[in-house]
Order: sequence, then structure tokens, then C-alpha cells
Amino acid sequence: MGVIKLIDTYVKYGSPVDDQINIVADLIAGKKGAFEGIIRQYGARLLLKATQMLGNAPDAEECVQECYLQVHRNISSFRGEANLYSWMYRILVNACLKKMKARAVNNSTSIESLLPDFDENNCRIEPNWPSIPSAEEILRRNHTKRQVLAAIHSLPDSYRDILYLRDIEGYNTAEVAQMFSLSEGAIKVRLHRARSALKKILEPVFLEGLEQ
Amino acid sequence: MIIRRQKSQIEKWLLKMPLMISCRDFENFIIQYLEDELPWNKRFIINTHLKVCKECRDYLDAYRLSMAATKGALAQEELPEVPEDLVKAILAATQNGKND
Ligand SMILES: [Zn+2]
Repeated sequence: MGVIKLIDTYVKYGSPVDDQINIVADLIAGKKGAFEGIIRQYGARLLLKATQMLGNAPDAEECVQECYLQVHRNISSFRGEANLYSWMYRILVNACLKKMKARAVNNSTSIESLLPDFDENNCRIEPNWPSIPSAEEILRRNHTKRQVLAAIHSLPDSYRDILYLRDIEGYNTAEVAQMFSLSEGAIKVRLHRARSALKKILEPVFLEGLEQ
Repeated sequence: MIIRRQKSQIEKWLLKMPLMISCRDFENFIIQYLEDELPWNKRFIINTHLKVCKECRDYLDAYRLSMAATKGALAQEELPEVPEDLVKAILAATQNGKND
């Protein structure tokens, strides 16, 4: 029954795959309005991702523009084995990484000062946590979401982007290593340092409101 | 409650026992631990340390919390409005490309 209904829907409206084939065919043919269509359809999502990676709107807009220019130039080489958005997103990530490498290194925070602390007996120095709240609890508190977003942007560029691509966007270590031309071991070390630094930046936010 | 200073002294002494590692050693194994890349015997040593060390337990919990909170905060961000200027700029640039 479900399958018949699905086929029925496809006959009426076309399948998502058909839609994508049609869009790509229109783009290759240079059909009027087709390109503007994908700007309207995916532009906001791409702009959000670029802003999250780069931390500021002007750089993000520049990379989104660069992404669309490359899509325009290379659409005939789009094979269709990936989803159109994923293909565009990958182009955007490369544009953002290139931008990040080109701009002045964000040295405002040194990662070393944000690594875990140990005493002379190699014993960890950790704040006193009466309890560890849940992420939902944290995000329900006023202003916390903004503080969490500010924390990720205060990380040095390459650390933030490795964390973003692996932990948030779900790329695996090998893929991220390839993007950064680093070994998988180096990516793992940086990922751990980035997470560790983020934890230290956020400690006061998390501890706020916990009974000591 | 044991204050940290005393705990540190106890840990120094505990390190002389088999299978005991310092917090700093724990830190060096942590990536492999989280990536599930440790052989069972090293994993056992790490888990033993976590059982006896509140600091490392709290550290790991807070580390995981900051990952989850970051993921949540980013996922909850609203889609921005694409500036009309940007749309126009992209369309103009692609038109230029055609004339080349
Ligand atoms: Zn420890």
C-alpha cells in the first residue's frame, strides 16, 4: 500500500532524484532562472555553514559567491552520484578552507593556554563540579547558546575548522586529513586539543548556576 | 572530602602500584580511548584510572558536554536571509563568465 502511494506521488510530482536530474539538466542547458533557483534554494544553508566555519559574514558571503561560481563553471562535470547539495557543500568547504589559509592567522587565542592543567605530581587540576548538567539543560538557560557559539569562534582557525568538520559535519578523520594536507594522527591531536580548549572556555558558562 | 592537594599525594603513591597511571598519562591516551583504538589491556588501565580519579571523570564528562552543547547550539542556529545584493552579485558574475 505504502509503495503504491509512493509511486503514485512520484507519478504526480516526480521523485526527488528526478527533480535533481531536471535541475541539473536545466543548469547545464543554461535555462533561464535555473541558476537563480539553486541560489534561492540552497543559498541560506550554505551561507549559514560558511559563517559557522569562518566566523564573519563578509568572508562567508565571499565564499558562498565563490562556491556558486565554481558550481556554474563545473556543473557539467557533476556526475549525479552525490546529492546536488552535498556536492555544492563540498565545494563551499574547500572555498572556506582556502579563505582561512589566505587570511591572517587568527592568533587571538593560543591553544596552549587552553590545554588541561596538571600539578607537579601529574595530577589533573580540574574545577570542582558538583554535577555535570546535560547539554539540553545548558542550552535552555538564557544567553548560553550565544556564549557557546562565541566560544567556538574564539578557537584558532584551523582548530575550529577541524572540530567543525569532524564533530559537527560528520566528516571522518581521513577526509579531514586530506582537506588539511595533514596526517590522520595530526588531525586527531588537533581535534582533541580543540575540544579540550572549548571545554575550558565553556567551563564558567557550564558551572554558572550549579550549586557549589 | 579529600582536598586536591592530598589527593595528588595519594595519586603519586598509587602510581607505584601495577596498572596505575597518572592523569597526564591518561591525557596522552585519551584520543585513542575516545576513538576506540586501544587494545583491551590499555583500555582496562584507562577505565581503572577513571574509576579512581574524580578529576579525570569530571574532565571527560565536561569535555563530552561541551561537544554536545556546541553541536546543539550550532544546530539551533536559524537560517540567515541571503542578502539580495549577494544574489545579484553571483548572477552578474556568472553572466560575465558566459561572455568570456
Ligand atoms: Zn586522573
